Amino acid sequence: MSIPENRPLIQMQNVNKFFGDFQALKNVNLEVRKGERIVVCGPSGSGKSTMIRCINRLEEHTDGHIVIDGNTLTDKVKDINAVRREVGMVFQNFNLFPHMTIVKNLMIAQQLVRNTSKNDARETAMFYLERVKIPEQAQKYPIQLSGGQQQRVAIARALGRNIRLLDGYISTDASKYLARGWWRQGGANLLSLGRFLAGAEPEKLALNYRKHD
Amino acid sequence: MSFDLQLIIESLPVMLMGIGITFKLLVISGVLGLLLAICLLLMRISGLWYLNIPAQIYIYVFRGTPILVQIFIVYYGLPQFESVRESIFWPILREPTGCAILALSLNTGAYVSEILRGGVLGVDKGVLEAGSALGMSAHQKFIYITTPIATRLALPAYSNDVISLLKSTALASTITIADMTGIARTIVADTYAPYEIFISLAVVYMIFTFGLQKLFGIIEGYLGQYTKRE
Amino acid sequence: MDVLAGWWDDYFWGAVVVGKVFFCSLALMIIFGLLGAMAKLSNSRLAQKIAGAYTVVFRGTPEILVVLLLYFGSAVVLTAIAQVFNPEIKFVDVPPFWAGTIAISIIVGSYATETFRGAFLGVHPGSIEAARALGMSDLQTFVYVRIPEMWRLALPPFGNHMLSLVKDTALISIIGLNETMFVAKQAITVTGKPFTMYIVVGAIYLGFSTVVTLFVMGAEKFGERTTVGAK
Repeated sequence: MSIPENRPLIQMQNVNKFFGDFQALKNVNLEVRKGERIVVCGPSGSGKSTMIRCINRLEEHTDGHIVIDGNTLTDKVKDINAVRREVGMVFQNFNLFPHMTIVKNLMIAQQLVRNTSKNDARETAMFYLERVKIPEQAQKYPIQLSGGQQQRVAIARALGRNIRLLDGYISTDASKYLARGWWRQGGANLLSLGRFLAGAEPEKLALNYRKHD
Repeated sequence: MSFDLQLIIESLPVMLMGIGITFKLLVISGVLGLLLAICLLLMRISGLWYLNIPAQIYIYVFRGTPILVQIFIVYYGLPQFESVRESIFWPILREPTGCAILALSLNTGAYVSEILRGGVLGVDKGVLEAGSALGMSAHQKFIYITTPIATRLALPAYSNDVISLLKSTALASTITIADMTGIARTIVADTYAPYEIFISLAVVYMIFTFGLQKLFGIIEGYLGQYTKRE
Repeated sequence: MDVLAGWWDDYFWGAVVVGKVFFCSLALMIIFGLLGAMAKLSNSRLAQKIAGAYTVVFRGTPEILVVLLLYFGSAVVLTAIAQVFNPEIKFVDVPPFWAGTIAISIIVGSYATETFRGAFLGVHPGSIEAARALGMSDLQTFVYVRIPEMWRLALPPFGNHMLSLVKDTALISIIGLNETMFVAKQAITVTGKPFTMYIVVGAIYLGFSTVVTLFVMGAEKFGERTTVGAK
């Protein structure tokens, strides 16, 4: 069975999400193809964060289909893990592991989830750290880095994945590294931001979804 | 009424002979209690009602009754049953030391499990989400994220509990064990000098407590390295 | 179970004693705790040092030791004093009830000192400033602003202190207080069933603990009635 080259990496069809009686997502249809960079903007409370979190199953969508790189997202742990392997995420609070050094933060998933050897994992980790230009911080702990540096580490942590999500906020300083790291890699990028990111990436393709309920 | 210093000088070495027993009670009960606490914790956070509920009941009972009562039930109470007297555990349960260790372990296990649970609940949800997003399994998250962070969070409360355990070992004297308190009580019965004896003994316990606090301070400093901005 | 038949009323009266000890020691514990906290928060270095010594001494000493010391120690002092007046007197007894109650109040009071101190420090400075700006005197600020807010913060750990008081009551049986442990001892010599008798003691204490815990949960809810949604 041949796979069409231009199949979307992220596909959301008629997705609804309810929190009890409250409808957070209403009939969301979205496609993100390889090489695309999509920014979702909207006022706070409009559901953009929820939508992004449904993609890697941090939230469960109530109805509809979500297909990530050919993998349909269901309840099954196997399916969820298949999706999470492909998807990297940068959180609004960065959520770096506070008790691990920077380089270990970048190595741990490779070792545990992909069974990479320690040396290979370290090589890859240092490679990504260099991409975001802070290789000298490798042995430090997250608390010792500035906010901008922490976000760069979070960006680096999502490198190496074909699909990259960013939820919430990016500083102008850190957004330069999206260009160095993320756009260069191919794959698909989906960002959810409260404010429109101006002047940071000149070639950005932006579609604004304003979600009201 | 004079303060008999000579008596203290003579009695202290005698009381300190009991320090070995105090130490033994503290360490063995502490270790066994910690193991029990980990089991109870896993039962509590397992999500399975038939593990969670019994654990909760156990913790509720052992935290809700005095340790002295628990010691008496084990030492005086268990021999009431023939099945106990004929079991393989009888050599241990017949001895006051074995009974004290059993009762202290069962008791501290209940308290420590709640302390550990507090640590587990204190782990930042966001960091666990990052682990999920990276594809880590629940098992992996528990070992590599929850356990290191929860241990550090639980340490201050745990050190308080170890100090409580030290103080509870003095209750072993009520079931004829010759720990420091037991020896002290014998001396007081002979000499009618409660102030000299009990106060000097209290000082010994305070020094012991101080030592434990310093020890835990060192451990906390070591585990908390990643929290210092410097 | 019929072995317990004759003993229920003895256990009942023993439980009443536990209750009496609880209320007396609770009052004393609050007093000691508040005094200690205020000493620690005061400007007097001497007061701070004394309160500091108080907490260190009684948090580092086994409870049973304090009970024994207070009981035998006070007996020695009182006997000595009495013998000055009447050399015939051999021994003056201090009622175990009071020796024990005061002992456990002092001990738990040292923990309460820290609790109250932390709670006082946790009162919003903004509330104090508002009270001053409104023209309230220091005393009025203390009574109407500091104390209520402090209680709300102190309540959870204070509940634990109350539970400690309940459980430490069992220690007083060692110096002869006629509460449930004491009853059990007598019952055992007659019935020869130590397990059963001590289990009943445990159940009575568990009952007390439950009541205290429920009370604290209710008090916490009551304290929260004005704060939920306030932030």
